[in-house]
Amino acid sequence: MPGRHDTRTWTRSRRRGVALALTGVLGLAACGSSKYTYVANTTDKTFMRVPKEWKVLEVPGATEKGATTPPPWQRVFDGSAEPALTHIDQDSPAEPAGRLTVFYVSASTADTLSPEDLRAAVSPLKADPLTLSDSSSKTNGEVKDFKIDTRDGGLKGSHVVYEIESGSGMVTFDQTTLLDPQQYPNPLTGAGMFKVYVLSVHCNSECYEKNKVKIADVVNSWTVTR
Amino acid sequence: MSYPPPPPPPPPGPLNGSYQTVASTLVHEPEPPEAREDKVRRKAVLWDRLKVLVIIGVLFGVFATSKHASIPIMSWGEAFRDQLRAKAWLIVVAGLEVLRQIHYVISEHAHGWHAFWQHKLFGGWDRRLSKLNPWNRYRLQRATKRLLIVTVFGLFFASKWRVSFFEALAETPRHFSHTFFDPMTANMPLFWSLIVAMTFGVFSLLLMFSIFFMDSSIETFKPGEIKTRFRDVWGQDPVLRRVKESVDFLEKPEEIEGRGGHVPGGVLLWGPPGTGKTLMAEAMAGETGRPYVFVDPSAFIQTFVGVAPMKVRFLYSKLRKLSLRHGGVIVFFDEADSLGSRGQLTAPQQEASKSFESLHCCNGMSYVRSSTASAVWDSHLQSHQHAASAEPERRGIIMGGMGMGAGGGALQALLTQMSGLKKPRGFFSRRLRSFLGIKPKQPPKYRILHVFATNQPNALDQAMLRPGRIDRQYHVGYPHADGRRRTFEGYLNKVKHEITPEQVDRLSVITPYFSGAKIKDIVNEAVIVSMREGRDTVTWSDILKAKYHKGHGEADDWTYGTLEGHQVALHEASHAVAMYRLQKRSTIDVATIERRGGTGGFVQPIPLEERFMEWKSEHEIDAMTFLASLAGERMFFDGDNSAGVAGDMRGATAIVLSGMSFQAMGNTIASRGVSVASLSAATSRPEDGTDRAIWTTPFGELVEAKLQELLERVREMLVENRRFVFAVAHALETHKTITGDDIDAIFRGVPGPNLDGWMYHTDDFLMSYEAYHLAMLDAHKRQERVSYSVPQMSGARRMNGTSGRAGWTPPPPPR
Repeated sequence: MPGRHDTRTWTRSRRRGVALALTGVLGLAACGSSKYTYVANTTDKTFMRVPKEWKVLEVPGATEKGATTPPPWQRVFDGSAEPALTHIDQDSPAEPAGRLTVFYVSASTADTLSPEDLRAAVSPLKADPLTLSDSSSKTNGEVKDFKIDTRDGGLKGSHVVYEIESGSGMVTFDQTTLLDPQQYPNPLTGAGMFKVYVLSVHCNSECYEKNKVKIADVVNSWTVTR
Repeated sequence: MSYPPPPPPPPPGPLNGSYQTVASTLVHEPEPPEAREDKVRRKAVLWDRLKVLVIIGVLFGVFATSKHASIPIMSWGEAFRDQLRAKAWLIVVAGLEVLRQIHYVISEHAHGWHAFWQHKLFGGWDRRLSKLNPWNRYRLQRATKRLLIVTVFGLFFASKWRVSFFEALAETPRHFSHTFFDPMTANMPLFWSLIVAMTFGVFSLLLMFSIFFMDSSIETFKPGEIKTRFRDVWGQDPVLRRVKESVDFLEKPEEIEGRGGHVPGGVLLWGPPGTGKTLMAEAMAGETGRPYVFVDPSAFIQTFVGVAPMKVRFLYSKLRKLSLRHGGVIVFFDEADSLGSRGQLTAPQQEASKSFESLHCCNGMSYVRSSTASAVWDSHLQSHQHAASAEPERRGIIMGGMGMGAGGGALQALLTQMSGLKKPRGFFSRRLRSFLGIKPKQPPKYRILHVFATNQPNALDQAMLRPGRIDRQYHVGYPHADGRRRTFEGYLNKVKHEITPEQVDRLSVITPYFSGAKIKDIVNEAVIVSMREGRDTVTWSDILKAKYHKGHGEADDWTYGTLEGHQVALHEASHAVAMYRLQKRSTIDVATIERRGGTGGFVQPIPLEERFMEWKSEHEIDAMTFLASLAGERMFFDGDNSAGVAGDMRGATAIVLSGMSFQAMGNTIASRGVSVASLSAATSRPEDGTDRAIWTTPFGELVEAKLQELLERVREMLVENRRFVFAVAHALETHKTITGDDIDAIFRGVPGPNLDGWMYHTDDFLMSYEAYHLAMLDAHKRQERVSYSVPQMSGARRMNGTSGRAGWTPPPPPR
């Protein structure tokens, strides 16, 4: 048995080295813990990380009766010390609250879906946030940042940061929308469908300023792969 | 059977010095088991120290790699850290392993530490467990093992489904049912693929294995299920005593184990078919309070490779359980020769199992005792072996294929299991204890009594016959006269009969080498004979008819011509007269000129007593009995003789040659079985004296001279008994078959079962039959066909001493 012979002929220092290396690997791996919580949707191949101190919550989804598309996939994250799903629906949360959503639209809807429509569909304004810059806008607010977001695989959309006034003060929204141009089979009807990816984070403007870096890190970590 | 208790130790006291010295020398205390143990733990090699940690490390790496691959935005470091949290249990296991290795390292260097764990902690635990009944201990271990399996699965599914442990247990059936049997879910492809797999693969395999393991060939009988008892086994008392002893050891093992011995684990019952081996085993089952497992010879015939060894292991698993549960078990392997090969066992003692009937001499091998016939048979066999050895390729083909014995591996598995009963086995006793560094626990005493029965012991593997596997070998031979009488009595007691005790005694004498099964068959055949004749009671005549029918079979539908019938009758009559006059230790059973296959007729002797040793004078008588046919034919046919004496000459020559070559029964005493070659090379074949060239040597001439001398002696005897040769020949021509009692009646001139011997003592008979014979001789010389009638007696017949006068029909007219 050459292998056993080799083992026996190892020097004592070599044995120690192996033992120390093994212990070291395990020890190093054991040192510290991750700074992030990872959100993964391997089916739709979208990933994101949020700071460890923010809580990620699952949103149960079920196919509604008569629905023609599958229910959306959603994950909510909450920077509150007492995280709750309700925070995401508050007008002006004191801590960052966000939602990553993948929802599906039929081929006919996708054909008529413009980037403006997409931004409007997910905005609390029920209108394209870019209209805040128009003089005719009745809502008190402003667009802080805007850029077209184009990603590998032909995904196209936009990233917009805007601030609006709510009943309890100014609220800042960081909103990214992407439309996947690839058609997927609808498991319910067998027809074609398209995927829409939305990442939205908001909190009052003071909070946003305070967590701007963290929120940017979350938004930048968001990945959709093919 | 009971045994006295073990002797007490010598009493302490003021003994003289010499006695003390003797006592201290003779009494040997058994070595305590601890004396054989190491003081410290044996040092482990590096791999053994690290292997579990390496496995844990590899496993962890696989988890981390999987995480990193599934989430592209996660770095390697993040993946490792994430899995450290997610797989914390793995870190705990690694920590325990490190502790275990530290414990081992200390045990390798510190005797106190090692002794504490092995003797105090684990030893105490073992001692407490040992107080449990072995069967309860086994059940406890089994329950613990099952609980462990359920726990592992429960934890696994609880983790997988993210529910509590108990919820996981409760949900498991539903989950499996949902996954496998709910085709309306998303699992449909899996469901159908499983259906296909089960149909064509798993299901068929399960089906086959269930058929293989449906153990109709291995039957288990609980105590009380078998009603056969030792009292039902007749005629095998010596063997039965030993078998009873083996059962007693199994019933009361403490008697032998208290003396430091062990219960014999294997008994081989070997002997000819029908001698009661299986019956004896059944009686063991009936008498014992232990279960009895019957293994059919076909149990280990396998269709697929590996099935037979699996069945053997399955059988022993069952036996061990039964042994623990009931304190012992008897397993009976019927026709054990089907299990193995290569063995040998005292082949010369199997004379009774040889089929002499297939040796076609003119008169069969009937004229001599069976042991003498065995010698003739051996010479016959050797001549055939020489012929067969000329065809090595053909023999090679025949020997190929599956060979002897059960399916491949069954024998080896059986041998391993038989000698492996003292090895630790099982998950707890071996795997877990070894992993934890606890010394293996010795298994409980599996008291399994193996009983093998075979009529071909030389077909058994030598490894099986060794002590430790088969400790005792008993020859279950043909019952002796007392045993046969008891057997006849036993079977006759079951039918309505009018056989007297004297007739039963006579039956026991005239049925040498009859097995119990054969005796049973004869009694049954006698019942059939009586039914055929419209009676409900078995008579002596029925028994005799049944015996002749079973012993010699039905005669051919063949009628000799007048001349040939006369010639065959004189041939057999010569044998019969020689036998009656010379073989005083035998009696004649039957004489016949009815043809059966290659046998034209025969005279069957029965030894009046069974003997072990034979003498030169007896060999000479046997040879003369053979030679009587030649002497008679030459005497009555003017020096002519038939080819029908060939077999007789072979027999006579073999006896004389064998006696003179090997048994100092001639003018020389040196054994021809010894040669320089056989002394120098053990593997060379001894000179056996069958070389045909021997007849041109001086020794061959001595053998020929001896045969001539014996021929002359028997001729002289026949001349003196010419009347009786005629008388027996006449009886044979008339009745075709006569009994030994008829022949005795002829010689004594008294009534016999079929004839009246008195009529052969008249001058009229001699004159009439002499004339008849001369007419036949004349026809023989002229090579003519004749159709003379056998002379018949007319007139009064004297019965039971009543005087009378007989007249004989006139002889045929002279030509």
